[in-house]
Amino acid sequence: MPALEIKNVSKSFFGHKVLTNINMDVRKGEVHALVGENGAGKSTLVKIIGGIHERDSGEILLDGKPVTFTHPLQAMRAGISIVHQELSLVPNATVGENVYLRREITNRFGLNDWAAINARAAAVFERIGIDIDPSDLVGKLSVGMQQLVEVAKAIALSARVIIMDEPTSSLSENEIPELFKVIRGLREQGIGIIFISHKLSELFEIADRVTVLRDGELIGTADIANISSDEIIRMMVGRHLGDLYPPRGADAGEVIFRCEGLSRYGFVADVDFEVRQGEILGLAGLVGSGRTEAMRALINADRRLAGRFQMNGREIAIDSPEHAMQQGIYYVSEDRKGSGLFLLSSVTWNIAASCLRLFRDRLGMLDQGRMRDQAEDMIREMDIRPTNPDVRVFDLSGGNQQKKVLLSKALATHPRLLIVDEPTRGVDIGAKSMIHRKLRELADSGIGVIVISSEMPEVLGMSDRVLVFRGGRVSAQLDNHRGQLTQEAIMHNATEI
Amino acid sequence: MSTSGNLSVALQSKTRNRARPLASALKSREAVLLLVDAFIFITLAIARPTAFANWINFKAVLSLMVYDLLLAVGMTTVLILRGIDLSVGSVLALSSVVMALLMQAGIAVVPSLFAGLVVVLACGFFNGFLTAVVGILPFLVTLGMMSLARGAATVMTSGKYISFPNTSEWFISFGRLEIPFWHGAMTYGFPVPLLIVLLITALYAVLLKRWRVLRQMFLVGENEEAARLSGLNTVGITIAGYLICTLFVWFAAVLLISSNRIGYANYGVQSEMRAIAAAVVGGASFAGGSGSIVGTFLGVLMFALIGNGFILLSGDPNWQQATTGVVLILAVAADAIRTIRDRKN
Amino acid sequence: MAVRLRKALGRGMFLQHLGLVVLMLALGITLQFVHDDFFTSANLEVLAMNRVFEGIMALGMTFIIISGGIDLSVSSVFPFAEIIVAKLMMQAGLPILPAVIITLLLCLAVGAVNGLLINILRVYPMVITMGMMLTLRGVNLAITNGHSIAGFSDTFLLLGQGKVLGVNVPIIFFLVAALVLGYLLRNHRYFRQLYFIGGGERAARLSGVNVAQVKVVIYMLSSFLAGCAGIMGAAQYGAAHWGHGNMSELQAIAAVAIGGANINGGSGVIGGTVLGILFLAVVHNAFVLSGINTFFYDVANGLMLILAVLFSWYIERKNAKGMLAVKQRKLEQTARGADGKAAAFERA
Repeated sequence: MPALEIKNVSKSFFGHKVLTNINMDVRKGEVHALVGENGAGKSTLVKIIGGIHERDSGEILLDGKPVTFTHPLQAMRAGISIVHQELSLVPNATVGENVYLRREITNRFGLNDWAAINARAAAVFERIGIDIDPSDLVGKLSVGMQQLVEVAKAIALSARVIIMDEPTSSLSENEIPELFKVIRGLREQGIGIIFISHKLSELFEIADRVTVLRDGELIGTADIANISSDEIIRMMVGRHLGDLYPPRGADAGEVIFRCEGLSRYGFVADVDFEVRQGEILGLAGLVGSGRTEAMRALINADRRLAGRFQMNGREIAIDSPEHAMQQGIYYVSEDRKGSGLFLLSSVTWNIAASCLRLFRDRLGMLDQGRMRDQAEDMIREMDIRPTNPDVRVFDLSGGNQQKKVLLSKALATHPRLLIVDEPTRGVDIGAKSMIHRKLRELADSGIGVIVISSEMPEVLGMSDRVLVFRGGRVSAQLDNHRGQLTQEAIMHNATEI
Repeated sequence: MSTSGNLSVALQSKTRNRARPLASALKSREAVLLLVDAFIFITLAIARPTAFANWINFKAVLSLMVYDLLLAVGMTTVLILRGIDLSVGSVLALSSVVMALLMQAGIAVVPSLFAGLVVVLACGFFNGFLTAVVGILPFLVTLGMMSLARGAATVMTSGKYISFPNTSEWFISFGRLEIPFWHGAMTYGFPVPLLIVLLITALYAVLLKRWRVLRQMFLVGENEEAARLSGLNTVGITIAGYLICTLFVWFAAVLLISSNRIGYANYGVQSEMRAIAAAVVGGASFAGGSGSIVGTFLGVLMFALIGNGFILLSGDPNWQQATTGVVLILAVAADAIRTIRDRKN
Repeated sequence: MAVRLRKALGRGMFLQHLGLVVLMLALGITLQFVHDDFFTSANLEVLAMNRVFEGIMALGMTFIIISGGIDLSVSSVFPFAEIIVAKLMMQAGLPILPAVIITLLLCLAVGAVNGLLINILRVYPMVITMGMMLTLRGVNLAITNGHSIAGFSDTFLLLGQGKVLGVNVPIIFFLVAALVLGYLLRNHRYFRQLYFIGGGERAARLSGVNVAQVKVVIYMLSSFLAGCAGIMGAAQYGAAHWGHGNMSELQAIAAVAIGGANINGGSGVIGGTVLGILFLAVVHNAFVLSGINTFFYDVANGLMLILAVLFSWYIERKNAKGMLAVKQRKLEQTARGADGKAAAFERA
């Protein structure tokens, strides 16, 4: 009997289907890899298994018995533990305490019995074959060790299924084998492990089977021994693209912008690229591969370690987002609520925020009438609804309109190089195509456009050329007009083989 | 329509004249405060017609109000930036002490005032720098500055009053200057310092709303990261806000020593609390991005009227402090509820 | 053995605590050398008594700061307790014990109100406790009309001025409270939760911590301690006055920060706070002995708070830098050999 069975599980968020009829099983003593590109539904599935979200339909069976969780604690007690990417340990408590969080062994008065806690924790560590002192403070351990403490926590909870979400992303080279040793140990003890990773090389090293999700659907499950990495990639991305996108521009013109040696400490290294007139440059790659970090470092919103830039052949410096804007470079944030919009201010103010200087009257005061005029023009051009420019952005009906306002703010500054981070995240089909058309128009009118996108179809449909990021570096440059730009090519260069 | 067209030209050619909707002209909070003030005013006028409703009393209330008003206006500025300045009272004292000591030593008025200005700006810069550049919580920074400034002032004076009897006459009598005006058969005098403060406050209120440089503070306070990515100089704007706050503190210090004729290290004790209370009541929020000078003025007026009321009605001003505290809690609660409601969506 | 000792002592803040001890000893020895009367029992008593009430408040403050909050109202609860116990004894004629009990119950109520408001309004414990501080201050002023209340019985005065085994009662209270609270914080699972909350309220809640309840409890504890300090303060000064305890909340916060706790929550130990308040007391005493204008003390106080905060900030930055260094190394390890693969594809 499998340790965990998932039968026909579906889930929707606000009417948008994120998982459709997923069927999957995890055997006892197996490492089952779960892969898929960004937005495929992996993390939603994991959250449903772990009790953080509730499924809409389908069944989940643990050791053959159906279970339903409404709170993560229930899942934990039933034997399903998640080791998250962002660790959930308490840094100023000891290792032993963390392993037995909220289940500490106490005496009659509620005082912790440290000896017992430490002994039990030590026993767990011995079971999985690692050497950590239970009385150390968690905060003093390296990330790799902390992760092992999380694993120990799962063991202590008598977990029968452990889900590991990108466990190696924060580990150093020598910590990874240690983790794998522990995982093999867990496997021998009959624990089922779901292993999420983008690094295909790891899958071939540690996994027994692999399940591929794409766009919320199950594509297939296979034994690792019987499948190749190319096949996995094809399963991850193989889809019908359709004709959603505006026709790509003709051959590109002069180089508008050149970047050499862009680096940011800890995130990005040695990124070179060019943007030509009339072309849209796409930045593809997995989440965390450094695209946003690179662009933010470009405008020096986060401190840049190195980088040289040329605009229209002339060498320029970019000292700050303000400085970048003055030279015509505008970065549109991916996070419209957190760092993009002023939710409590009106549409007018949001659109004008980056170009307030344009609205000075003779005395230097702001001419709010002209600001409103500009807002009304933008509202018409971008089809923002409702059409009242005094409406608070907060009150706009969600992703579509807010995104358009965000773009309007950028466009109002007449940039020469526009960098858009996830232009259609949270936006529905209708607004998506409108935004795509607008970006193509901009490129056609001679403005350089860089688009960061995690949606494969969008990258392929919009871009004339694509930079594929992997682990903070550019791993490939693919040219659409030379037929190099395929989903497989992107995914191949985006994952670590 | 292409966006690469010349937008500025297009804007200049528009001559639309729009009437601003009434709703946006009447900000609800300011209206409520106005009503509250009017209510208190009328109640007192009815309860103590002779003691309250006469010019001497009004003059006293308004004249005492100016110091709190100036500090509250400065505090509003900093609150708009999502910060706080707990050191306003102490810097007030420090500035008064510096200026008084210099004048006592025989230095002329103008250089002495200038020195006082330099001192406050240094304090403001310190606050702003640690907050904006280093990134320490403004609460802690200004808490430390509060101690530092008060301590420095006390050290310089050993706690004594500093008088400057040999100073230019105009400075000392400035505080008592009045502009005469007539109403019916009576002659009244409107204190000049009060007039100046009201004018400065009104001017600042307009500038805050309309001048690009100051208006940006609302954006920075509401969402600093978005402001930064929108190309605003968030560090510069934040430091400027703290400098402006201490500038108003300096105004208050100048008026204070002119009127009282002494510098004293214990001026302004606990005045930062009153300033915060008035600003928050007037519409400022600890979450940043909002604040109204008109509202602050009405808030300061409200506290002044309440205090006056206590004196006239019961002769016991002591409950005034408690009332300030309660009003502050109520205002904070209202602000917190507003913030939660905004966040929940 | 040495390792175990180190763990028992510092728990990760060992270096900072050691530094404080060394500094204090250095100051003490210097003062003894220069003034010849630092290490006298008379002076040490003055030193300790000078900050003992702030120290008691700092103990409660430690709990609150670890959980990520702050309590500014203690400086008003202190005189509030003084005044209430004074009024109950002098004006209502109650004997000492009932008066003390009622006073402490009222203080617990104040703390409960703080905690409940913070839970309901969910924002800015700073502001709510500040409002409470203002309100209580106003109440203190109003119910006494600005006057002192004095004339306590000799028995009552013992609470503040009495000595046990040659040590003042308030100091004994402080030491006992520090030991008990320190032990509980270190070993009792209920109070260990403070670290969970300080590390992240949402995560704590998901782990099953009853965050709301714990918060109310610690704010009640803080007010309770401030109340005890107030009662002993009235006994020590021989009078209750609304102006007592002014600025004491700042001292308490400074003591906690100097003791190594992170002002934003998540870390801190009672031992650190004890060292912190001791440090503040030694510095103050240095001023006293040297005949330096004690007004400089405020300046020094402000500077020390700022330095403590800067130090905290520096440590946090160093930790963050450490994690980034690991990432940077990974980044540097990945060769530029990726281009080889891209070339292969382009040809295809």
